Amino acid sequence: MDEIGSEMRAAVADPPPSRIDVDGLIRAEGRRRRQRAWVWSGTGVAAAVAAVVAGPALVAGGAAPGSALGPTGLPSTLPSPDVSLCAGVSPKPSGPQPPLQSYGTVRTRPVEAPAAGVVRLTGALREVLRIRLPADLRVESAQPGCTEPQFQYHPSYREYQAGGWLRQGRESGLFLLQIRPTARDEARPDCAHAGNPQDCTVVRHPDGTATVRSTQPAGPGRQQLTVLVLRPDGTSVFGITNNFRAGPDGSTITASAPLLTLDQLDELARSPGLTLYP
Amino acid sequence: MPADIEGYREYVAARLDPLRRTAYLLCDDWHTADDLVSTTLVKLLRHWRRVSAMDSPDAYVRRTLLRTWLDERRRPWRREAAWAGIPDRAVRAVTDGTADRVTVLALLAELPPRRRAVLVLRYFCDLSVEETAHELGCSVGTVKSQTARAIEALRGRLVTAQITPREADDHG
Repeated sequence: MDEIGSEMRAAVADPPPSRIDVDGLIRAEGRRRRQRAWVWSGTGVAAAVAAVVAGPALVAGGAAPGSALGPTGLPSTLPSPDVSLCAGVSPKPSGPQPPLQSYGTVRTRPVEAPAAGVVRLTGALREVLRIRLPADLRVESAQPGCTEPQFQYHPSYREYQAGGWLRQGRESGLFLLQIRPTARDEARPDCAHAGNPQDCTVVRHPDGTATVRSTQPAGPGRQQLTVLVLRPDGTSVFGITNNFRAGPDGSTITASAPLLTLDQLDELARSPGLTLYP
Repeated sequence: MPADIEGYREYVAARLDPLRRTAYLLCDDWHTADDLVSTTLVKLLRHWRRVSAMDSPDAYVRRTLLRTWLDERRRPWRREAAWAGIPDRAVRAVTDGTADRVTVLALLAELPPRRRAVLVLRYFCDLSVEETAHELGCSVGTVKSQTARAIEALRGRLVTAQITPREADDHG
């Protein structure tokens, strides 16, 4: 029945011009993603991280703070004895890890093993927090039983994430960092990548690093600050902080203003150690 | 954060045309075809990071298009409605060069959606029986029987369509 195939091809040989606006679809999806990112970063991320980490840790009895254990699934004899990691839970993909992208449109992936990356990046993060945070400001890990924040590796996205709560007296706020390879379309710093393109600035630093800074209003008295740091070496660092905590019944203001300024958040995210290509 | 959008753009630019043609053969209307493809592309964009790493993104996209089409057919407003009188319908302009194509499209439109999908996958997308079964989520035997019935129906209607004018000439 080759005739059927040839008749079908002949029937669609002269299609009318397409009405499909691919750029419009991408823009609409970008808006949807930003909206979801806003909701998740302000509400779900902290709760989800705490729930994911707390559940199994509580079931297993948890680990003593500061105990020198590797994350679940990672060898405990990690090559950096200076960084003590809590026995947290690293997210695992539900199936086999997908092969690397085959289109050649993505920058070369880091070759560092995730276990080593977790240790190295956690060490760098703790060091920079110790040096750069104001004296009366501290960060509590989102992982129960852990006193200091530490990175976790997300295999599905091949990115590292560290979350915690900034505390200053009775005030608090979310602190979240994500480190990933820079996607090709994000290599050029642009407010299109910002959480709120309407309130965004792009700052170019002398070392070639660029930061996309954005402020998102989240209702009366609520504010969320985001920075996207694009390093020349191909590392993206995305940082978030805010002054509210949302729950099922709405959000609660936890501080009069975010406990870090955009400058401070940018400075933390630009720390030299927070790179995927050491 | 968005995934590799440039890679997505490249992929869509290369596949948009065949996707629209496949969608048109499924639904027999270019506007609906564009809607189906748009929906498919949005779904693809949401999962691009994962799909782009697959061995065969085309199969995923084709399957998404099929699901979108079959779901669309199940919408309440797509179901047949009872009419007091016969509503006016657009009549295709049949010219010499397009008569056979229109006939094939008209006959395809008379087939049930899944049977039409089997024909489009087998004879337009050039998929094997096994691949078609995988795309439709059914067994190989089902694909074979659906194909046979669809071809039988097409053949019967084509013969009827060809005989009727000749008979009319004989009697005229």
